[in-house]
Amino acid sequence: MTQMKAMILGLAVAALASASAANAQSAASGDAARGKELFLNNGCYACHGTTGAGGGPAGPRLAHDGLPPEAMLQQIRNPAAQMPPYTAQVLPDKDVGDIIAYIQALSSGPAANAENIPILNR
Amino acid sequence: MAKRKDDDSVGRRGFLKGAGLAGAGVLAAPLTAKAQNTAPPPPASSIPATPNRELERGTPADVKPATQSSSGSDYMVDVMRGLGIEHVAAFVGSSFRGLHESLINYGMLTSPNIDFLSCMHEEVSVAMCHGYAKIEGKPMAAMLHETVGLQHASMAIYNAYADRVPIFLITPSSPDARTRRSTVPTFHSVQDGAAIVRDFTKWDDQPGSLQHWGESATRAYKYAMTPPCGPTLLVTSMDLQEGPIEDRPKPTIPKIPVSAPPQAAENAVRELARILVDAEAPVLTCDRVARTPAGLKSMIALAELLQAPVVDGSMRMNFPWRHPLNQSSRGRALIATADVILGMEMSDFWATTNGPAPHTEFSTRSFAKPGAKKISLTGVDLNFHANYQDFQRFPDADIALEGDAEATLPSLIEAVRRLIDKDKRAAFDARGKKHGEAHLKALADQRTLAAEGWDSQPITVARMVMELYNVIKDEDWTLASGSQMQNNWPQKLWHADKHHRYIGDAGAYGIGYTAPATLGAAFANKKYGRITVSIQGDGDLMCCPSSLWTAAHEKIPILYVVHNNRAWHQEIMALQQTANRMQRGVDRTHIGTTIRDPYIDYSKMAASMGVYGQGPITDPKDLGPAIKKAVAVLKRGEPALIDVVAQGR
Repeated sequence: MTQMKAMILGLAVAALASASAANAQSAASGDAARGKELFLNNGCYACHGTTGAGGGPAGPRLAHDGLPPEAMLQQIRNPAAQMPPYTAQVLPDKDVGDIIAYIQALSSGPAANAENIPILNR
Repeated sequence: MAKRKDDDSVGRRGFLKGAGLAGAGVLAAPLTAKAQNTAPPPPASSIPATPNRELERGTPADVKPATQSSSGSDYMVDVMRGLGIEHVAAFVGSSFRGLHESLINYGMLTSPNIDFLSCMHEEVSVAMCHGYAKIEGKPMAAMLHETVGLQHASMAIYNAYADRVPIFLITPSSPDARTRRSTVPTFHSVQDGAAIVRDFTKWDDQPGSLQHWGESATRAYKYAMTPPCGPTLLVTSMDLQEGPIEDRPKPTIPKIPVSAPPQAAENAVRELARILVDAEAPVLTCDRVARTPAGLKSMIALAELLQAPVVDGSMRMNFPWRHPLNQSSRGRALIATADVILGMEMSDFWATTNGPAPHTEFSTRSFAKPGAKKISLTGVDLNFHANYQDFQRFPDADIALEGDAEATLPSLIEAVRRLIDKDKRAAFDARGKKHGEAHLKALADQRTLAAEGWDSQPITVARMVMELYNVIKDEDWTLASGSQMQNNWPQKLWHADKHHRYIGDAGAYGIGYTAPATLGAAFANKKYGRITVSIQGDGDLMCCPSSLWTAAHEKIPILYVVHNNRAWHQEIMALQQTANRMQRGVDRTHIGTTIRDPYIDYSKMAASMGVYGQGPITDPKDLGPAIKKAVAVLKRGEPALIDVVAQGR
């Protein structure tokens, strides 16, 4: 998981120059409510879970992952690993921005603390 | 039933019935005389006559007595008893009626009992044998109706073959067109019945006599049990099953030899020990090493001796999940930095060091360190079969040791022990300490990941898995289902250190395995009083739903926790990838991949077949109490099912 994250981040840094600033800005100011619908309707939930919990090789965690919008955009458009590529033809920039806004909203509160969940500590 | 063309055969049966009343001896004489009058003497030939059935039975093949007091199938039951086979699973089929009758009226009523398990599909019968063998360490038998039954069973047989699991299979035959009935039985007749599964069984035979059957049954058992284990098949003619053997000396029952599994060559083992001891960063990888509890103990001994990390592919209970040297969570990172990688009974050793290249569909790359030494130790290299590609890509191993890993480990451990001096011991202990710390960190990281979305609906897979563990952890439990579709959360978070805690997955990933195979494991566990749980995919359940009826009918305590993601989830992800590559979007990828409109109510389905059912559970807070109730049902000796509406993965 950590390795995948590092790979994604690496790719994101390399691609920052080419990713449009406008796209990233649009991502940061997207409509999270609409983004949730898009997240569910575009199959993101299938691998990452409806609340971005992820948890395995099929789809890493998105919530509380700390991935910047630019990196998310890069991963969506030109994914590393086995994620389906979402080009602008199938997912316009505005939709991507809203999805990223939803992922950011999932991360807005504090992450659940595993130590406070007794059955996770058996 | 419609009147068929073969009225003459009905007439003959009627005639035989009448003749039988007068006495078989009276009947036999004129027929023999007639044959002597009309048939010319056989030409001299060096080729021996094929079957010697007549010698064994004393009755011509087309003259069945109205009554008889013994049958070939009684002898077959005795042979199976002698082999230690205790159960036969079958979906009824008229072609094995002889054996069926012997089992229920002879095998089940005389000691040592050999029982009959009622199934509703041959795939269920074989998969039950598959799960049973992984717990019990020996085969159960399955009888498969001629032709069509074997066709039904074929996927389950392939699963068992690829999973290296012994099963004793019987399918009937009726090769003589003169004696078999026309129409349906003839549709079900085949010249070479075993051909359809020969590519993925270890051995088959079609015995021509009872003595031959006894010898071949013993051989089939021996071959099935010799690592790499696998299913074997006896094609058993109806004549041989049903013919009487009275007034004749009974064929003998051969002994099973005590056999030693094949071990790797001694000099190669010594060299392997030297390489491992000299390595700076060795990694031990394993898929199906622990055939028995002894394999688990040996794995622990080897890893602790070397203080080397173990990356377990979890196709058996190879290594304790919470052992400090269990580094499966960070396996790829370790393999990428290893100088020696030992792959033991690997399903796909090539994939241990190779994977897809980024941004490509078919290109691959090695992620092993250049110069890393790759060594394989497997008995599968001794089992040569073509056609089906379960042997995977050719592993780019530097050294290949041919021998069963579990059988070879004791000599490897001894060779390693002899090479470790004081300095090595200190270096190994330091290495082990680092791995222990990494194990604890990985555990904490996995708990953090599992906590994410803890109260989500649909329920997260991590929560479903942990709610289950919380209820069973103090019991003597078995997780009988594979956990790949649950992100291997049990391996990451549960504590498991006994061989029967986990038995791996299907082998060939043929869907429809979980419900019946885990039922077979639960059946084997019944006499040990263990709690058997199966995290059951909804799509897989619908391949063999009749497993539930068998569970209720045979009173097998098993808890099915249905991981209900309302889809064939793996396929959704694959189809999304293809659709997006085609730039057509994923809007329509639910077609053919989802289980909705309508949703299936699995608890009602279970209840309809006599299984206690709860659900659908949608609120995670309801899950723990539901599992507690279900486990109480298991403790009464009955099966239970909980339908959990959960995330995809």
